[in-house]
Amino acid sequence: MSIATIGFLVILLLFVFFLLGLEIGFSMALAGFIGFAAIVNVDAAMNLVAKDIFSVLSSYGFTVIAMFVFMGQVGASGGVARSLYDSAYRFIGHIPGGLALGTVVAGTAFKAICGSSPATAATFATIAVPEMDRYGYDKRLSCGTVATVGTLGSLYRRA
Amino acid sequence: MNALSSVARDLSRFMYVIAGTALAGSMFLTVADVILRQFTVPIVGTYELVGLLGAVVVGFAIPQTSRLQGHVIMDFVTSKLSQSWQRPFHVLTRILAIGTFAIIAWNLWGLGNDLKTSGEVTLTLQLPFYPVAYGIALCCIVECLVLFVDMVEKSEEEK
Repeated sequence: MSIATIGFLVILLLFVFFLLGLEIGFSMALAGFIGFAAIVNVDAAMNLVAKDIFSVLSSYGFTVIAMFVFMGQVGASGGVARSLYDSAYRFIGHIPGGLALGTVVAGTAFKAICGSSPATAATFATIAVPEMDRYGYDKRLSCGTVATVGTLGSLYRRA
Repeated sequence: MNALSSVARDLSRFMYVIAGTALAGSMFLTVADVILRQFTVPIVGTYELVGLLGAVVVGFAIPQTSRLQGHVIMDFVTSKLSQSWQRPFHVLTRILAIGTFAIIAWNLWGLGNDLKTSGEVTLTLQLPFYPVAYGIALCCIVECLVLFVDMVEKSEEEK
């Protein structure tokens, strides 16, 4: 079987795992393991799984995500996010989807400053989603908005 | 089963406290380093210490995140099924997840042994890597226990 065919089958398997209700992270780890075992061998996949997980978890670059989530939680629990969204609602609440628009602008600016799309999405998931829920926004709109703002911020060049 | 459930709960809570302490520690360390840098006395080894603490944060938070159902899943297919159909899917996904974490734990323990034998340490502070690898392996074992308890408890609830 060619590598391309194995790759295609593993992607299919990944989607099967997703649809079965297996956690997204676990699905990706398991599908990656199976794919690598099919292409090289099981021993190589066993070595790779430990080395990859250890190197990714202990990577300095990834620690920012946990720190930004922590920052988001401090902002949300301390009431900063609530005050900001109350204030934003008074200015742009009359526009349909105003808070979503505000979140896009804030998220884009945040990404341009911090430089990490996953960190932006993680921070705004803790800050913006509960606040938009409070104003009766559809969960699909609020989550979709937060998921995309990190990518949009890449349009700005960092200084 | 109740005893196993309380062991899983206590262990995951204990690990969660360790993860939180590591997160707060890495935050204070980074802030202190940034401030002290202004006075040309940076804390030596902050970069590698924060990296290792990041691994502790993520690894030790995994069991409690599973207990609180904090991992992202796609449930738009399984939620539409009847309870009798959801049960085998839940059991299947738990078994897959337990298998994945058992593989990861086994190989991380092996990696820890390799790192201990080779005496691999960080560049600046000369801190050994192996305790972190052993720690994450233990977290994966606790995660297996949490997933097993979740699988059995859900099955008992439905009976």
